[in-house]
Amino acid sequence: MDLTVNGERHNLQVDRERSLLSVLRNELELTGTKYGCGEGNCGACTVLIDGEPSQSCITSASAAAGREVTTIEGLERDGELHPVQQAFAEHSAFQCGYCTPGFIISTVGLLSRKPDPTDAEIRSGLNGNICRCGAYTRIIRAVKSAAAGAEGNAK
Amino acid sequence: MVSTPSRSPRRTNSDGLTFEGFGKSYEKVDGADKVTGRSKFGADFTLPGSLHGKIVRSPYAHARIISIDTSAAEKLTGVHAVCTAADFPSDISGDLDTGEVDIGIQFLANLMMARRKVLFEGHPVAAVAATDAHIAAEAARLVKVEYEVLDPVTNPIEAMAADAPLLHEGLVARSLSGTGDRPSNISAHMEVGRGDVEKGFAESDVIVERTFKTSIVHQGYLEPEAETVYWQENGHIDVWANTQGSFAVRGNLANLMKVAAGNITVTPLEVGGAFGAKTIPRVTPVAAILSHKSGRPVKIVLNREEVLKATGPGAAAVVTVKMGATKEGKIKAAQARLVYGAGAFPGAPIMRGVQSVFACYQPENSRVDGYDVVTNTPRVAAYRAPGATVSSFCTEQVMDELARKLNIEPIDFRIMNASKTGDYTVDDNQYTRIGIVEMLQAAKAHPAYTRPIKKSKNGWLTGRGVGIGWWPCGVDQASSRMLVQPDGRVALTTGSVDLSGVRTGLSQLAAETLGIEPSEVTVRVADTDNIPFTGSSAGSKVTRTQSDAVYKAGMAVIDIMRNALAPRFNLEAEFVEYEKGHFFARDNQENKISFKKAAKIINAQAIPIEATASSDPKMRPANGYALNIADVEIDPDTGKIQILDYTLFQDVGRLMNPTQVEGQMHGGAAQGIGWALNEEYVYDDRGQMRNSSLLDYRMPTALDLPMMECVILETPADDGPFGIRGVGEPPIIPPAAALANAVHDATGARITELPMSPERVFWAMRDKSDKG
Ligand code: FES
Ligand code: FES
Repeated sequence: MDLTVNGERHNLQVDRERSLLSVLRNELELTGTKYGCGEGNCGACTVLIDGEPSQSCITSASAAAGREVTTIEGLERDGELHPVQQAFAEHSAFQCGYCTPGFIISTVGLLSRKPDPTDAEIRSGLNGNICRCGAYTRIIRAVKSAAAGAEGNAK
Repeated sequence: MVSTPSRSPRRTNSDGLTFEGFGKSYEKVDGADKVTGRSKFGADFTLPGSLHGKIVRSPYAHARIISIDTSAAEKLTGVHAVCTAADFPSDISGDLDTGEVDIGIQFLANLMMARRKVLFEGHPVAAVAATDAHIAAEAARLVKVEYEVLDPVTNPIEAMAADAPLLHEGLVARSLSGTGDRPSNISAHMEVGRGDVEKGFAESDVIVERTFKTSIVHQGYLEPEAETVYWQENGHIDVWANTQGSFAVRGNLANLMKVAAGNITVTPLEVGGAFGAKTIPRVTPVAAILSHKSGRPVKIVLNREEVLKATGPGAAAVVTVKMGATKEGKIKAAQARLVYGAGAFPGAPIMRGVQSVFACYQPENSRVDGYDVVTNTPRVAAYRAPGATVSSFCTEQVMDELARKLNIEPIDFRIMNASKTGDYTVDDNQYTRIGIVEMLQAAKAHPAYTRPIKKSKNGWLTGRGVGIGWWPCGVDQASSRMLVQPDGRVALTTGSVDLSGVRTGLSQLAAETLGIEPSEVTVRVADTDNIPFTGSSAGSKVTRTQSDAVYKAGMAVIDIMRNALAPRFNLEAEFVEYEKGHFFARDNQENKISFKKAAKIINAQAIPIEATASSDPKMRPANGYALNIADVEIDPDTGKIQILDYTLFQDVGRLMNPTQVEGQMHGGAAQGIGWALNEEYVYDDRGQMRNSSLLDYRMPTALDLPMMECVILETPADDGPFGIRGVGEPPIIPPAAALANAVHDATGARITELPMSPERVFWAMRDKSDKG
């Protein structure tokens, strides 16, 4: 099957039912996307499929074939961090950092739908992601600052 | 004042000093790696040629193993090794290092791989290693195990009964009054106290007694255990682990495998949360045996169901607390009986439970009994301040109730009876410098306490509660090496695994010691061959103990530089001063040499500027304590609790990095709130866990948690060069207590069971109104 990840096309011989998460991590060695539960309950495995945040652990590789998959490794542009990555680093929006790729991808998805979300919209927009280190307060700060930065740039 | 050298090489106390670089927030030094996904966690590391290991687990909570047939699995193409307990060395001995929760080595070996009996659902009985994960899974299914199923017991109180199913035929309780006379599921009984509680209760005007119950909860770290072990032909074992303590992994593996520790190298990887659980060996020994048999590296990665069913969660408990006080508010007597479930093998955190249950207060007479009880559930591990969250939930409610009966404001009642520096704990340890009274007073004066509770927009009942918790915090040897590069940058190599900010914190400590900027320091975590012994990153001790090691290494480095520069100043080294990043002659401050320039000059002379130091073994634990004020609203129709306002107080000794401290405070509170309101293991009567997924074991998300204000207090520890206290564990302790007291304030009902699910709160409210 053909899988396009971070703008690169890969022709892969894999079981069509294998999870996208497993293919990304094991075949393409893109280990930034994490396993937390394998059942769609934690958000650690979130990637963008055609711009929509999706849980790669419960998405089959074949369902992603022919669509644009973006992982955490695909957010940087010309060696520059994506503004959401930048904001998460600046606000130290993590403790262990294991949930971070998932949160960042979910945030990128959220901000593309809602460029200027309220607190409540951020909380419900990120409700599919668990941070067991409890960095939510700083994650919300980071999301807001990324949103404000993007607003500033647009003006 | 600057913290940089005085001529005395040892500084054991920070009183009177201020630190220029403290109190500032620095970004995490691992930020770029974490936000790009470049950080290598356990499962992200793969050695070429690695096999995939898979553990075969018992489907039963309690059964005798009749036979294990591995032949079909062995024959499957792609399978390189299959092991059972028979492959593990049996005549093992030695002390284990498993953090804050002890386990005997034979028990640990049986926990790794069941021998005659399986004692919990998920108990390993065999393991396979194959070329890919699918073959390994298939091979695991082909291992045939015949069991004789036995009745399980999962509740610690039921397990104590004389007719309960017996887990270990030879287990006889240890206690101060001697060992018991016949086997039971009680593995230990601990008893401590002061004075005469009966007399104390007789002298009390008001007595409150309640029994509380809590369930097993999981640390819930998002990253499952994942380790790679390569047992090479030459006998050397390499381990890559997402562990809290690389030296603990080395020592434990050496004892379990009967190999010399020097033949094992452990390289710590990034750890995606641990909270005490990743201190106890879990998959390393199994991967080691599989690697030994196959001659290939073996990687084992657990899945979420395995994590929940078969790693070490936090203990369930049943606790009775009885306290009596005079009309004037003096606590005359306090008695507690703590029963903690250890899971399948002995070693629940009863000692910490016993120490912490009345630690914040000074009852005139006290008596505390702790029971360590085995049950057919996974063997517990430490969970952030193990034992203390539960004991505080119980004591703080009894304190609240007692105060209300005495018509004293609960916070005043706490202040009147609070422990102070120099007082003694129930088990006769003297407190080092503490500021519990100061913390209570700060809370009492804070707007979070003085302002009215917000009105419920839903028209629900509202209430406010206070809860406080104490934690001893640990000490252990900690080591770091400092190397000054020719360009003046400082490379710090440390033995402490970085769970959530060690590198950031140590860069700040090194900078403060040397009088340079943290950005000039690069910190790396070493493998076990490249740094002296360092205790696990557990027990809230890393920053405190490393502050001594880093300080000493820094002092030694400056001495080297001072000696090397002395000829340039035409002076003896003792007349060369160093301050704020510059060397100069004591009586001529004109000619200064910057740290950077000195580094270049000295390195050019081929003089290594390098020093390794370990923390002072005499360093004492600096206790931690925290307080929460919780405002809640409760739906009278459903019992649902919502948090309106939440404020965290904690004494950190000295505040180094507010962002880091806030991160720990928020994180502990988030787990404490989850524990208080939602989380619990549910077992059926066959001992099968009913909620082994993150859908059913629900941890708080952004929607569940309020914004939390942090109030950080500073009572410097009375030893250590920077006066730092432990920060990581105390914040999980008060939430259950504060929330329970808030629920009572709102509804008049006492919730004696965790979690405080809507159903429990609803029935407690009903019960209360039935009784009028
Ligand atoms: S791993 Fe996909 S949602 Fe948890
Ligand atoms: S930072 Fe550890 S899980 Fe979020």
